[in-house]
Amino acid sequence: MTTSMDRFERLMLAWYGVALVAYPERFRETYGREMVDVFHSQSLRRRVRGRGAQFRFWALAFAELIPSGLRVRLEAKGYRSRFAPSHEFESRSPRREFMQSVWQDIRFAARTLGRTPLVTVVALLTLALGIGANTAIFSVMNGVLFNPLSAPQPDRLVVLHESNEDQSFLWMSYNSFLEYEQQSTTLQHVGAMRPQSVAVTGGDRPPERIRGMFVTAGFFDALGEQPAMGRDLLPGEDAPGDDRVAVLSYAYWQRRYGGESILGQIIVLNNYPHTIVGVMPQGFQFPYDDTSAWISFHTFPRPLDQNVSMLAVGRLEPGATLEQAEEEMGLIAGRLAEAFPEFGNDRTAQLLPIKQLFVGERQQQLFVILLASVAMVLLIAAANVANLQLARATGRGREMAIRTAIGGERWRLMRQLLTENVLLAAVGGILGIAVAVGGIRLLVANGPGWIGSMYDVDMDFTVLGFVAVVSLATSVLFGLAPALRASRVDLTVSLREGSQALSTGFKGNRFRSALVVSQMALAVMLLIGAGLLVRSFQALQSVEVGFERDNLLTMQFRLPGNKYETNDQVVAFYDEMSERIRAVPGVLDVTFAQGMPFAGDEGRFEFLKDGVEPGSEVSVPMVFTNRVALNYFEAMGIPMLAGRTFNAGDREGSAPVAIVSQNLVDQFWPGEDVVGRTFRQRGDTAAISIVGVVGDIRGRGLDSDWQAFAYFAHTQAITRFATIGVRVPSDPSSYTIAVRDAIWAVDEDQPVWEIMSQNERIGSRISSERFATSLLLVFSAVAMGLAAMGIAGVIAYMVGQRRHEIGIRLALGAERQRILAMVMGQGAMLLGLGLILGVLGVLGAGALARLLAGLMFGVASVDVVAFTVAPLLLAGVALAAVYFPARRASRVDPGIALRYE
Amino acid sequence: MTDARDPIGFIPLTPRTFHILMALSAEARNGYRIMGAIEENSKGKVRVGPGTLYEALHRLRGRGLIEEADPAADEKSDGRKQRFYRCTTLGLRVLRAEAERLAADLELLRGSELSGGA
Repeated sequence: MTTSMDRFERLMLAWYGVALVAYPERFRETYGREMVDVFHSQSLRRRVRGRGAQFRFWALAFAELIPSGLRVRLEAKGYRSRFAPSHEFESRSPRREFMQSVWQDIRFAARTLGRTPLVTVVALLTLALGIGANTAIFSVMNGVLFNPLSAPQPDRLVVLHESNEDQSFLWMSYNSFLEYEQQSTTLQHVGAMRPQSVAVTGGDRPPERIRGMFVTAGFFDALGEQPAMGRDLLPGEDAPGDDRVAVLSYAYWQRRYGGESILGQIIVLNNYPHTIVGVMPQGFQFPYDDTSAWISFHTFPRPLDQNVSMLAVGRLEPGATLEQAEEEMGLIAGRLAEAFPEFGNDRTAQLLPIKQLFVGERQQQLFVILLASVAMVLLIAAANVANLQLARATGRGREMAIRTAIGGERWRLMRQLLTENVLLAAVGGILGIAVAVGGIRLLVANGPGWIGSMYDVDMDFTVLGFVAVVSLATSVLFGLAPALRASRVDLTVSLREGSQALSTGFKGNRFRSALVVSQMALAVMLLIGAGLLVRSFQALQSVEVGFERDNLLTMQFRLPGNKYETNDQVVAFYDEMSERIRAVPGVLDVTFAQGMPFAGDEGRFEFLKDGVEPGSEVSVPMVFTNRVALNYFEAMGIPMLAGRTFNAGDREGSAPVAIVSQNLVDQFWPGEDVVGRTFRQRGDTAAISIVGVVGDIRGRGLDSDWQAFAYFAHTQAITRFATIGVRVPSDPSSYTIAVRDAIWAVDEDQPVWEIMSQNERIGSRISSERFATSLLLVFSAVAMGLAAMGIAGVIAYMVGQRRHEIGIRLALGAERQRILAMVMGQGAMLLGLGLILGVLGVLGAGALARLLAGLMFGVASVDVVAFTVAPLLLAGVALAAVYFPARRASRVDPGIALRYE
Repeated sequence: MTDARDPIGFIPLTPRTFHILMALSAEARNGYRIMGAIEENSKGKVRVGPGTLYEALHRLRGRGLIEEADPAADEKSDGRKQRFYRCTTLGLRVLRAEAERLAADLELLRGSELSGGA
């Protein structure tokens, strides 16, 4: 066989030699030479039959290399294949062939991904975190904002309330409710409701307090839910004078009665016997998940017709819109205002979609912020995966070139790369769902109470769809760009220069650098946001509340009016209770008040200072009022600023006295000595003398202003509802049992509830802030980690590309320190650009600032600390990450680097 | 040297493996000649390129069905150092088992009504 080859045959032979890389090295060593020989001789042999025969042979010889090489590689790794796998002779249907090639793509993709386990694991973790966190937040948000109630068609449910010029949300009277109920044509069903805590006594079980709800017969019809056992309230059971009935929740029925048959039995609620007529289905919860009983309305302590104390829930008639219904209710309210001017003639009715009753603007802001930050984390994650994939694709330029050269169709290569990315995204997506499930549990368990308590938070199909779209979109995003680039490889260049060909292109590096810069920018934005929230949270926590908040155990109770009928009985109860609690070993002091700070039970009244003639007032300011124990100020650590404190002489029948807060003085008598001056409550003629002035407190929210307070002695202004405060030396929770037993020693039927330390009480007020802050901290930490991985990866990649150059520099005498500095400098430049863009981004993003401002307290929106610490922290972490590839660059062995390739 | 392994464990063979064993059953051949023999025996129906050929040879060697052989004296003049291969006893037994299987299948087919129509 000495026939000389023509140019074409020589090229084919050369390519075939290169293409043998499809096989493992040892296989090539053993058979490579022979294979080339056989290829050569068979090519020549076919020449006599013409070019066509030659081409057919070449096509066969090249095309079989990839599957054949793959099989050999798999077997070499111990993968058990069939004895001699061969698809060529099996019957071929196009569909089957396609499925086989897809399966082959998948196996090949899995193998390729498995060849770089570290990169793949990092990519998968990145994807799982990005997708998982997003899904968890979205699920919670979906449950809370979009699908808050278990009732059918919750978007047709509205809450009916009243309003006037001063106040946008007023409760309505029973009379008003009856008018709305009877006259409305746009509402299908209307029911009144009022959430109320209820004491359960009697029987052989301990007294307890449950969350209850006074309702009228239309309530269950409006919600569209029926009891699972028994019946709901009938018309005629909800008005004064009717039989008192109760419907229990499934959970409470199980807890208190162990699921015994109880229909028709009597339960004592607020000291009135009620007949149990029904049990709601498992899972029914309205408005809170621990609402245990729905009770005839007339059990409410005060007579219904004198009370402005309820809301109505209604279901829109099919076809009726919220606007139509609101217009109609407005007309009814207008007629009511004419008929009952004493309730105010500017009163009107308003409707609220029911979900807005539960999810306020603040919560929505919180979710938008969390969603925005989680989306940023996802973007950073996406950039990371894109970068990893780009690097991988470039590294495989040679493989792609060979496959193109041996006739691999371009779309087939694209498909292979896409398969890899879709596989990566699919596995990442599955891991992401796992992360999401865990994340949702974490969110519900650790979030503010309103997340888990009211809503069914579950992964649903919308959320799954959302994940699917996110993971598919990201995979296409990651996969397509590198696939396009890789498949547009310049064959001759790639084959000549191997894997370096693609990577030296400036464009590739510029794109990668841009990705890293945007990662840095996003990460620093998140960090600054988290920093602002942390600062705000710190400011909130260190806010001066005006009283001693530490080591104070608090609990609440309500004395039933039909048991403690007279004021003397009530006062006697408090005296004996205080005495017994004081006798508990370790207890330093005990006090009580109608409204302990942050319990939210203070009253309000319209304040008329002396000298203002009744009827002449234009607008009357509201001040807070609180009925307190005689030792309240001393025990709470609220300083007396002037006058005297309450004493036993301030009692029913003696001249009415009050102690006011400094803020009230500043508002009404700025700079004056107010002891001895008087004021009145609107609607009351009695003048009340001020006997003392105390320091201000914040009692409603840490972010609120000091409040104007008028305090009354409980001996003079009786209160049956109270929160007690027990001052102890340490750890309030350890005194809970002893204090509760002391109360039960006075009245064993008296339930107590909301047992917690004052600090827990305050903490529960800022749980949304705590939640948002800690979540944003977690997100920004994840973002920082991802960004650090991103920059380290890219720098490592660039170092790998420049090995040769670095080797030459070192060989020519460059110092290793200079190489280190050069690489670090490269990283620092990307980092610096990102930081600048990120900081500018925060400053420029007005929307972000406005959003944050809603949750921020006591921190300037350009907080120096947050804007300094966040970039410095990121810079530190990123540079530390860059140090590793930089050090590796400086330790390049010139000899090896120069031999390499 | 006899191999105790049961040839039944190796069948059925794919047509490619069958033809390779066939080509190596009568005499030792190198890759080029194996390809020629397959082409000739199958009348071009079984197509083997160098890649799949050596993949199969590698596997058959690994399983002890073929072995390297000294080339016949007249082949040495070629100047190329190509390996020659031939069937081991196990390889021959496998080939025989496969041939019997095919014959039995053919017998079955002949007995059926399909045979007349073809």
